Parts: sequence; structure tokens; C-alpha cells
Amino acid sequence: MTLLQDQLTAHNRFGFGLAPNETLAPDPRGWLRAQIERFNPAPASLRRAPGPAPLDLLLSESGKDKTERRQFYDAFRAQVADRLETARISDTPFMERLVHFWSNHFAVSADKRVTTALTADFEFDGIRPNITGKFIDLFESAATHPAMLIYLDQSRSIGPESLVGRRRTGRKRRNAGLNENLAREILELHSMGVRSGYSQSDVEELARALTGYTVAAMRGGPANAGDPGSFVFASNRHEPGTRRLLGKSFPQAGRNQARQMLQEIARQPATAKFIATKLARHFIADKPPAASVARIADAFSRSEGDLPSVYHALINEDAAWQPAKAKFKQPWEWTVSAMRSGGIPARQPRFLARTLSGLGQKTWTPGSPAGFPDEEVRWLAPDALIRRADAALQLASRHSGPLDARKIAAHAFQGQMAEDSQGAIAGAGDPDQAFALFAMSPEFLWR
Amino acid sequence: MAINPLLSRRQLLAASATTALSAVACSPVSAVSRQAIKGRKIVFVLLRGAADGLSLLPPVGDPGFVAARGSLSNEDGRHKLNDMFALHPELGTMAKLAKQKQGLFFHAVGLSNPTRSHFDAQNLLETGGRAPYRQNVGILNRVMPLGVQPRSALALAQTVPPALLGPQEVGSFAPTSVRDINGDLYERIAGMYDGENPRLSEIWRGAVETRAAGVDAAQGIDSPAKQVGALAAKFLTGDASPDIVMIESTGWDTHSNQLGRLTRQTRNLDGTLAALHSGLGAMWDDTLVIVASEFGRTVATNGNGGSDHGTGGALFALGGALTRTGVMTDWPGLRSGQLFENRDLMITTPVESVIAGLVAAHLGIAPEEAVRAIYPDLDGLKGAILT
Repeated sequence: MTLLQDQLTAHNRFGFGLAPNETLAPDPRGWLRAQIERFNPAPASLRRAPGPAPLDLLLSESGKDKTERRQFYDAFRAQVADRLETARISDTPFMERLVHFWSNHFAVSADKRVTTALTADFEFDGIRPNITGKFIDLFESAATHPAMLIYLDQSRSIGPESLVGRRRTGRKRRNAGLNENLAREILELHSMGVRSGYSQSDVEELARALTGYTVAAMRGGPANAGDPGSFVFASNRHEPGTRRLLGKSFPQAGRNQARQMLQEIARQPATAKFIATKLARHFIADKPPAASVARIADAFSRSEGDLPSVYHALINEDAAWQPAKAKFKQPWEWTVSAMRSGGIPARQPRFLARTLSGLGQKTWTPGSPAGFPDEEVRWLAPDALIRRADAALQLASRHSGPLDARKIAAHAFQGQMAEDSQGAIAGAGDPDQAFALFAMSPEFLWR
Repeated sequence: MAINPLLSRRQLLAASATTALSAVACSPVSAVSRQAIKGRKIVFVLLRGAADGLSLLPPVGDPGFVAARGSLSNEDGRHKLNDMFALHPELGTMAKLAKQKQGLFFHAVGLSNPTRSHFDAQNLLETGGRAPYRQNVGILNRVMPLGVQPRSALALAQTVPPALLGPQEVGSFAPTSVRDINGDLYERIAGMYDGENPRLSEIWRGAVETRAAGVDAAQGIDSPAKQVGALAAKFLTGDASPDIVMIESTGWDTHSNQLGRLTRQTRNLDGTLAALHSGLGAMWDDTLVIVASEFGRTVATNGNGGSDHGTGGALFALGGALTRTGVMTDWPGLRSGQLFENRDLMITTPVESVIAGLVAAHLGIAPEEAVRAIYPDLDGLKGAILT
């Protein structure tokens, strides 16, 4: 591989492409490694917009008033634009990509008002500060964030033998009060992965240990237990007793019982392998080489889940530096990189949020706790492709500054672009169309 | 012929040689040669998130129903189908079609290799594999070459769902409010791909054609749920006329507040079906609609007025060409000893057998041919005899 190829890989595959005034990193691997140190979890660009006041929403699900509703969703869309702008101008784009990766790994979907109010918070406060530490801290932060507790129904789960549970069980229903949704997804989606050796009984035991993990001042939740809308451990909902998970016993220890179980889960080889597979799929290929996955998983296990060590192992993989068009960009990556390459600021939140929804990837709304898929077959669909062309044209036509796609393309790919693509851009009928052709070129659609 | 609307478990076993749904009924009839039928259409509606079969098709006549289900058993205005089963109050279109002998419903069905993971189960349902993610070709992609003519297919979705992925090229159109056609740009993009990117070029040219047809078809329809049904009908009756259409519906994972949420979900589903039915006109007589979900939900209500991931569920078939109507099931019962792992409705019929049987009857091919073609990984599976 030539240096130039490595440089383009570092910028395009690990980041979001070269911004107009950005120069090629002289040492591509070193540039990526340095970003882990330099990463700023709370850059100024993120807190431009106040979120849609979660407290009111947790206390009441009202919002019938039209003006209020508009303001509410405008606040959400402003957060989407902040996220976009942060990634667009970032000088640690590899880390921004990892933020999006982890946020999608621990997916919360803004399908309802409450989760809509909390998803940005989830990513900004629950994910960002934890992506350069230990996996267990990120894991626990995601599992205990109010957005997750509400999204996966944990906030309403009650131990049948807890004080609250016993008061409520006059009826003889089985599992009265217990909700195993979060417990199941923790094992299946957040850590070990499905069919990796845990059983239905492990799911139920984790669900029992998690009872009491809830959100203060929610409807149906505990009163006077903490700041409204914040995580709280309500001991009167916690199922008493020793729990068994993955063949080990976890004595009753209130809040710490579930925490110790999460630590045990984080230590499982299955967890290392599952995380390594997803990272390799995102940065190497839809079907990454087994040897690469094994080495990244090994780095995970040996460092006891130290995420920078895992990122280093990923950067060290030769497979990640193959210049082939390995990964078809998801709509989000495509939009961020188009705006970064073109120097187009994220100025119109309603338009941007609508565009991303139209491209099939409404921000923070995968519609499922599995998050958005990360494979080409799920994104390279006929209608999805044509929508990108429409979106690129709109991005260009709404941008007020100059936009010379010939220059943009020459800078973005440093001359490494097929003649067909260069010719189409040069021969376009107008500048907006030229930009759309740049964004739709095969070179740009893949990374 | 009309089928006995409900066969008890014992009756079913006794009657299985001639009339039953159960896979045991397969072999004697299979030797009969069949005439493949032209012009047949299939619409597959996938309810993602595990739709609660016990709420959509509640066994109201089961003596254990109320006790086992608790608060989820209370619902006014259900459409009674027979002494045993009813339809959810919002499923009026299904109930109307059932009265016209154009609805055939299946209960206690589920995957041959059940799992409580949404994602694994959806994968198994969509690809027909023996284990999740082993099979890369979707069941609908495998249906495409069956019968008398090569079939075309369309996903009414942003992306092509796994059920349609495979060697046969498939179109997609997302039913949202896009009205643009940037023809000049599209032509230039095609030119950019034509030379060195033949695959991209083919996808692109197909997309441009579908876009033109879709924008045309979407004129004047507003409600999103109805729009999906109406769009499907317009595509089916239009020039391109795909033979297979897939519709996805999400939001069925009702872990809490199930009664209210299912009311909205089923109302939307019914709106989609109503618009599809009325939009198809005469083509309804050649159409089979299959509505399925990855698994059912727990029999008992959970602590939050919802239900958790279960096992056995329901499947719905609608269409003017159905030769049988009613509810077909080998009903396992709801008492504690009759449940799967003491919590879920037992699966008594493989869902794959039902799907293969429905497709076979609809296309006029032998059930075992359908099984071999659609479910090559499932040895020993038999297609239900439905003709």
C-alpha cells in the first residue's frame, strides 16, 4: 500500500473524509492513535441547542398543544444538527465515528416522546465520556441511563417479592411486575451476543437483579426518590435473594448485585468476540476476516476491556487498510461526509432531520434495540440510492456559499478517482448537479 | 370447500389424513399432479416485533383464556369467528373478508427452531434457515422462480428486507412523501455507472423506473398506513405489476400498555389491508396476502400491562383465491401443563409448513415442491395441504 492510499483510508474509512482546508495526515496510523488521546467528549458545538425538556415529559405525556409539539420536535432536530455539525468539523473524526458506533450498539430509539427527549442526552452524557475508558463503564453507563431504562421497560419492572411487589400481588399472576426486556437485550445485543452460551434462566435472573433500577418521578415510578428524570435505585422494588448467572452466584447486595453481574458478563470471552466482530464489521468489511476479529477480541480480553487498547488493535489490522471499496456508507455517514467534503455547515435542522429520515436513517431512531444494520445489503437498495441523489441536490442548492465539485472531488480523492466519475462531474449542467454527481460517485458511496 | 372452523386437537389427529392442516396430512395427496396457475400475486406483510397472536386472534372460547391472560383478556367489540376464536376489535377488514370466505387464519404456529430473540426469529422467518444467519437467500426470493412464469418482486420499504434478498433482482420503493423526479441528474448518474459499475448501473436504472411509477401511484393518498396498502395495489395493478410485494410493519413489541398500543397497531394494519383490498379490484381474486410475525408473546400479562417474548403465535391469510376459510389449528390449550416452558403458547404447526402450503395452493404447485424450493435447509418439513 502506498502512503497516499493509507492516508485516504485513514480519512475516508476511519473518518468522514477530508474537509476543504484539511491536509492529509503525514502518519495515518499515528493520526488515528493520537485522536484517542485528543478526543473531547464535550465540544462547544454540541451544546448549542437545549434539548426538549425531559422533566415535563417524564411527569406527563401531554403535548397535545400544537405549538408545544412543534417546539419539542424542533429541539430534537436542533440536537440532530448539533451532532451532525460536531462530526462535520471535528478534528477527531475517528472518535466521532466511534461515538456513533457505540450509540448505535447500545441503541435507544426515539420512537416515543419520552425517548425522543432523552436520546441526545443518552449519547452526549451516557456514551461520549465513556468511549475511551473501560468497556464495563460504558456498558453500565448505557444500561443505567434513563433513556435505556425507559426504552426497554426496565423503569417499570418490579420484583414480585419486593416490598412494592408483594403489596401489588393479591392476584396470582406469574412474574407479576417483572419485565425481562432490558435483561434480554443486555445479553443479546449489548454484550455476549445471541446464542453465546446464556440461557433463558440467565435472562430471568439478570432481570430479577435489575429490579429497582428505575427513573425518579416517572409515571408509575417511585416518588421522592431522586432528581426527577434521573437514574435511581429503588430498593423497595428490588427482588430479594441470591441470583445465579452463567453458573455463578451473586449474593443479595441491592444495587451492586446487578452491577456485579454486568462485570461478570463484560469478562466473558463471548463479549470480547461480539464487540470485536461489530467493530471489525464497521471498519474492515461486512464479513471481516476471522483472524482480525480474533486479534481484536484478544486485545479486549487481555486488557480487561480497555477500549483504547481495542482501538489500537483495530488500527494495527492490515485488513483495515485494504484500499478496496469495503464498506458502503450508511445514510448518516454519507450525509456527514458529503457536508464535510463540501464545506456545507449544518444550518437547517428541520431540513437535515427530514433528509436523514428520508434516506432511511432517522437519527437516534433505529426502531429496534438492535440499532441500525451495518451491512451493504441493508442499505444499497434501489429507492434508497435514488433518494441520495435527490438529497445531494438539495444539500447543494440550499448551501449559500460557493461549491465547486471539481475542486471538492480533486481534494477529497487526491486524484484517485475514476475517469467516468471525474468526467461526469466536469460535464455537469450546473454546480449543484456536479456536487450531486460527486456525492453519488462510486468512490464516494463506499469508504 | 369450507373447512371445519375449529378442529380440536383430538379431532384434528383423527381427521388428519384428509382434511387437516397438520404436516402429517401431507403424503397421500402429494402425488396428484397440479396445474400451475398464471397471474397469481402474493403480498407478504411482516409484523416486526412479535405481534401478540393471543390478542389479534384471541381464543375466547378456551376455558382457560381469561384466567391465563389476566387483564389482557378484557377487550370489547371483538369479531367472533366461531365458538373458539375471535378477531381483535380493530381488525374489521379481516373480519369482513372472513365472512366472505376470504380469510384463513392459523393459530399456535411458529418457527421450526423457535427462539425468543426478535432478530434471530425474524431472520429465520425471512430466510427459512435451520439456524439464524446461516441462509442468505430470503424465502420470497426463492418463491420468485416458482410456478409458470419468472416473477418480479418489490419491497415497499427503504431497503430490501432479508425475506427478499437473493439472486433474483428486486425493486424497492419507500412509501413516504417523495415527489421529485430529477430526470436529468438521474440520466447523468446512470452514465457515470454504465461503464465500470454494471451492478450499480442495473440497480440504478431499475430504481429510476420504479420511482417514476411510484410517484405516479402515490398521487392523492394521505394516511401512511392506508398509503402503503394503496401503493401496493397501484403497483400490482400498474404497468410493472410485480408478482410479489413485501410490506413491513413495526411497533408490535408490546412489553407495556399493550391494550392501547395494539389498538393503534391493529387499526393501522387494518387500514393497510382495506386499502390494498379495495385498490386491487378484480385482481384481489388472484392475490394471496400473508400476514405473519416472528413469534407470539407470553400468555400471562407481565407487570406493566404488556406481554414478553413468547413462542407460538398466529398467521393470517387473505385473498379472493383461497379455497378454504376459517381458523385452522391444532390447539394446544392454555392451562399451565399445556404451555411451552410453562409460559408460552405451544407451537403445534411449523409456520414454514403453513407458508409453503399457502404458496403451493396459490401458485398451483405441489406442497412438497414448494417446501423444497422455499425451505431447502429444513429436512423433513412438510407443506400443509390447503387445496
